[in-house]
Amino acid sequence: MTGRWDLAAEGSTRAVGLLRIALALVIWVRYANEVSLFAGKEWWTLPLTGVFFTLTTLMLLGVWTRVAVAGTAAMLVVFYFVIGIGGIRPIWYGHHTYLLMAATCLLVLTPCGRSYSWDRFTAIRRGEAPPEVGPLWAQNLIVLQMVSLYFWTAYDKTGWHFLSGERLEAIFTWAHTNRPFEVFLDIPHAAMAAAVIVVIVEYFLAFAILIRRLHRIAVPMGLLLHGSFFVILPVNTYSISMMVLYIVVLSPDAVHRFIDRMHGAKV
Amino acid sequence: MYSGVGLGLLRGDVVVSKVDGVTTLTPEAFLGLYYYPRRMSLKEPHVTLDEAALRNQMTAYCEAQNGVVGIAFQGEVSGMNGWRSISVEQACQR
Repeated sequence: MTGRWDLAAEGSTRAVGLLRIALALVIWVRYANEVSLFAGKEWWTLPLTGVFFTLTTLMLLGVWTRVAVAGTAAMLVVFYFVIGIGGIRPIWYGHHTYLLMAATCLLVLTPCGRSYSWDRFTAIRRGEAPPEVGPLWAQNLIVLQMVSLYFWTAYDKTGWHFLSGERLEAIFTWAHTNRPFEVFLDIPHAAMAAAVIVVIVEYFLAFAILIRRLHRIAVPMGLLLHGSFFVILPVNTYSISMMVLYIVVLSPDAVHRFIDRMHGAKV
Repeated sequence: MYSGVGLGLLRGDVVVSKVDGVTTLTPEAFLGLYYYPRRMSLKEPHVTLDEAALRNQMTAYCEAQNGVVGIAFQGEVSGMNGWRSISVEQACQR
């Protein structure tokens, strides 16, 4: 998250470059197994496989980056709205696929190819490498997307139906019946305590990730929350997507300096 | 996971009356499941949204099992507002 919220916001492009790589990998984890040649019997499996792996590989490597990320985002929009909501593969319609699509669409608006990309490498070889600084107003939009997600998911849970623990109990019943974790479900009021904690943390994160001096608490708390979801519930790529998005919550220049320090550069 | 997860699950005892006695089953055993599927749809046959759905599941159980004369469930079913009581008793038609 940059220090200013207008269109003039700018800073290091390393964080969005890393986010581009991470999102490309998460997209592979989510979809690759379902769009590979062995995955479908429909005629369109063949072109889908080609388009998917071409665009996502270019996005991962940062080759013609803006075009590749825009193409990948457009493809995810089709996956979500046409193939998911359209009922061809209903499982592609879900909160985790929406988050991947939204984050990739917003990433298109960032200079995410200016760091950690083949484009940058070839520019360096030509002696034309641009500085790793660029307009980052769209990085702030990604953070606002996270804020919106936290606020509305907490708002949706604000009611006796969730805070009583009954909804969570039902979700745990679905996920853990006849599994080893099932014994913990018998602990009195455990689901209620977990429900209250989740709602408080989500409301807190909705505001705290916008306040830089709270990041020391908010970022580890958010990562712990999503790490817990990842281990306890079958959330697919949702948790891992949220965790990688935290890289743009941090100050882009702080990320840049941290990487410099890791490489032993004097800053 | 999607917002429909955990909906339409039974919690309680399924009492199956057979010609040679009475057996109590868990809801999963009654539905022929050991685990609930990772990917669930509200349209799937093991999802019990109301009494009518439970009656259909009981009918299917009666048709699939030999020697069952009646079946009853007493317990709760999960919905968007938490758990609610549900109780259905049905004779198997032969």
